[in-house]
Amino acid sequence: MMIEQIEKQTRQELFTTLYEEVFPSLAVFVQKMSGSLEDAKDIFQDGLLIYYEKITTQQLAIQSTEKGYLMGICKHLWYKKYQQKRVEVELDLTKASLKMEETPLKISDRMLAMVEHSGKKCLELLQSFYFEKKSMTEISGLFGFSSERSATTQKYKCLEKVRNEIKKRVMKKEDFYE
Amino acid sequence: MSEIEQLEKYLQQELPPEEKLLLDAKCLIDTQLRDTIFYQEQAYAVIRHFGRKQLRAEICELEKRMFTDNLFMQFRTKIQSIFK
Repeated sequence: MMIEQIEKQTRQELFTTLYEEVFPSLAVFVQKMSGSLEDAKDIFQDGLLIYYEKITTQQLAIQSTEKGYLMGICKHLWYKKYQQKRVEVELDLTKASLKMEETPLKISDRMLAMVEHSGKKCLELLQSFYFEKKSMTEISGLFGFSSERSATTQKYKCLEKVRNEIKKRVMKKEDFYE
Repeated sequence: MSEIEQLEKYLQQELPPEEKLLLDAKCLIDTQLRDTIFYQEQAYAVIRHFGRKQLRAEICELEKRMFTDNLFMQFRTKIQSIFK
């Protein structure tokens, strides 16, 4: 099944299966590494997000072999988190005022809230295309456009609206990044 | 092709080489165009952030069900036995 056709219900079924079949192995791994259930839950949530983005971006078919792939992502996230924790502890112990390695800039919730306020419908349409990678035919049906062409026109109008909103609201760099 | 569509293709590296070259050159002299491209890149980042937030909410809701709903009792027992 191609990910394009996955609607919320199918996605929920997929995520449920992954919880049932992958989470127990991750829990064993995290427990052995002296982590807690909460750690395992956090890692799994992040892992699922990354996994889902990967399969939508690469348009991969979902197969049972993909469970190993998700587990790999989760283990990687764990090691990253574990290393980060260790660095924090070391820094704290030495009370060194070392500058932590800069993490990639993330769009702030504040900027998203501003854009969301100006038009949630547009954001929903845009995320269907750019994030969920739905086709314009699907989007056309979902959002009730008469044709693919009018859905495409609306997509660009919405993108322009978001772009203008950002332009209007960007006063400081802090608005953008967290 | 509209300006926004052209910039999208430019950012996704889907423009024919001659059009890309022309835009590269325009960018060197046109600060407003550079700003527009920057805002468009940020728009994609905001859309992605929105998508991720929605997906995370969906996952959280499911996780909550997995750890409370009787339907998943067997799963829960298995996990609890790992952390006891």
